[in-house]
Amino acid sequence: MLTAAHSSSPALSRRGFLRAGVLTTGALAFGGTLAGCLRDTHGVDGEEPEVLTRGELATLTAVADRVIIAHEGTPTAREARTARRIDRELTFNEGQLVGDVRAALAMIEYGPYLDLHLRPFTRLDAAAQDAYLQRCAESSWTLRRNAFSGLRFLCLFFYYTDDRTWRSIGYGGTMVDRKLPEAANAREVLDQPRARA
Amino acid sequence: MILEYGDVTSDRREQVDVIIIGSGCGGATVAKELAAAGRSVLILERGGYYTTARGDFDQRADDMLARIDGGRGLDTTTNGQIGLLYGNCVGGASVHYWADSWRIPADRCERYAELGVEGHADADLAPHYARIERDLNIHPAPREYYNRMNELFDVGAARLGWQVEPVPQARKGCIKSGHCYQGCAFDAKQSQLVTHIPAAIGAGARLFADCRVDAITTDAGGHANGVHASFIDRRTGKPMGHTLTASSRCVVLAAGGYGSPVVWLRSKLPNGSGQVGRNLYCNPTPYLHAIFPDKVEQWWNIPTATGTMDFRLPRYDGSRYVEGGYLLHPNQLQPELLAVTLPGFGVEHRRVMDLLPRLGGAVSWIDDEVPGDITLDRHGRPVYRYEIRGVDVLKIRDAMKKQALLLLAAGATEVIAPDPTGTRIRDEREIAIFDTLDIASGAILFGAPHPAGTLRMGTDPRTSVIRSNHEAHEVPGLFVADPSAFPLPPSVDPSLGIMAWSYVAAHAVQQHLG
Repeated sequence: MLTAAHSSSPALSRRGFLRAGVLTTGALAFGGTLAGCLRDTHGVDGEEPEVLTRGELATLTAVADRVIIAHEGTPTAREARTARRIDRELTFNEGQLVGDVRAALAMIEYGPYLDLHLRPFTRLDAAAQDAYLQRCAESSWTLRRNAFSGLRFLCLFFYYTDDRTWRSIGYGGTMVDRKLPEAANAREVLDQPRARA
Repeated sequence: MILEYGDVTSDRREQVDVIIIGSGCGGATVAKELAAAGRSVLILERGGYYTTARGDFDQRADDMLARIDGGRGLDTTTNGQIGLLYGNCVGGASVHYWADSWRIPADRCERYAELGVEGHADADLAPHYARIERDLNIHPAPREYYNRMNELFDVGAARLGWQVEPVPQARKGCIKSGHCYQGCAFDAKQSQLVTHIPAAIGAGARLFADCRVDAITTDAGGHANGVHASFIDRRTGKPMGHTLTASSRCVVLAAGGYGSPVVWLRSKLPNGSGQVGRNLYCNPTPYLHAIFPDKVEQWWNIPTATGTMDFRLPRYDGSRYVEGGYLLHPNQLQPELLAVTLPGFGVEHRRVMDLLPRLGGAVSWIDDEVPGDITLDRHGRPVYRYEIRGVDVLKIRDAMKKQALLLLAAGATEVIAPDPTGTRIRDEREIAIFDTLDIASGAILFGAPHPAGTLRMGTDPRTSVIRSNHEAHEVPGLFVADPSAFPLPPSVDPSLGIMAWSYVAAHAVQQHLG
């Protein structure tokens, strides 16, 4: 017979995870506002997001800049429009991803205040950003670590699906021609009008 | 007849003998059996219909995860520890699987029997296996289909004294193009898309793609009698405004281990046992990478032509875990998925990516014992709670040790763990580092391709959801034909087992219809 030993009781619920994330990021955002650093007025490189705010896209762009170091002759994360592709992908998501990405971006952007920096992530210099992200990656605080690992995943995945990156890493590519899906997140379609639900 | 979102211009009403929700290994198998028996069958698939003839399978991860993967490849458990790998297309997860095709081991069938499963013994399933193996051309992989990583795997295993064996493959005319997870661009992988679905359609079944079941309906007596569904605009992933109302004499739920309990819960069907969505097993999958002196180019040819079963069963000394409880195989990832499973960021990450052609890897499929669960949030969206814990932590650590030993024995100069610090080892004397490696949420991302248990089978309606004839204890006329029926994971790739169980389910539906 099936017994209680075969039943489940995982420790961390989505609700608990998000509640903690919302409270924390809310407090951090409040701190950022007080510091005059909550910016949502300027886009990055002329990119206009569809799901994220401009400020969130700026944070995501800054994270991608540090996660991805391009070789000479290959596109940078910005040239590959990595952050904007992630934003496009979010338009198709019907689950929790959008909320999780938003919470993660707030965590990363305002997290430096917890480390006694006086600036948000996007206003740190590159070395300080790297040091901060490494602390996030190794943090014993699960929320902070998850925030970075989730954004890191998205940045790397979308950057290395740009076929202009392949030659430099020794990948010969696919054996068949490309055909974009109806709901594409490719760089080539970002400036085209998108079907509306 | 296959209907797609572009064909839908108005609401539809249908009346059939059987509605089948899902078109993967379970749904497609039941559909072709019932259609061949002359039943009117309507298959409803949430995802799209894609074919090589149209050039849909372009081998690119960004395009193909968007086409064929549930959550477009980005769903995770609530704690972010596990990436959920499941299908969302005609053919289901069989479109992205690696074509590994094992019979459920006899010892696991016996364990199922101990848990109250009847009529699914190894001997009961044998004729179904034989038929499926013939129809899907399942055969051991010949040597010419061993890529360099497979060859290295065998070298390492031989040096360690581990037995290896060719992994049975459901393939026909494979041209060694690799990229199997992105769906076969040459129709060589014998997925449901190119086998049981055409057989079902040929026998008269109809299939509506891009059709999301919102609720299974029941009559006044609680008997399943149809569905309400919404057609999805593939361009947006959102409902297009047209609905389907279908009535039937019975319903087969085959939306997969991650999907079927969600349909059940959304339908607000009875759940007196409280077991719907519980007991989520998923075969969490740790990856290890290694640097070899020469080119490996792991993305070509068959991912797992070879492997070892030496560690499939866990060994205990009394109640103390010793080792095992997983399959150990070569790994195959394309650059973008390699990138996300490699450690670090910035310059450090780039340095490893520069070694890409020389990167090999091994993967383990953990036969997990400590389950999670699936519930709905207040918006009706699925919530996947799963945390690697208990003995499964020990299994993961042991599996990573074995993977590292094998990669070093195969000639790797360095083994790279995917933890935040990018732990590396160069010598087997460093292997103990895996006893303390940080594997908690956010440190390492595990894959989870094989859900099971969420609508488990058993005799007792207080502790199980469906009977041994696959019919729900509490919902007459509702049958389950997918891995959510397994009370425990099958300890091997489940696809062949799902199909064999679905033959049993199809027979039970036939009896129900009279």
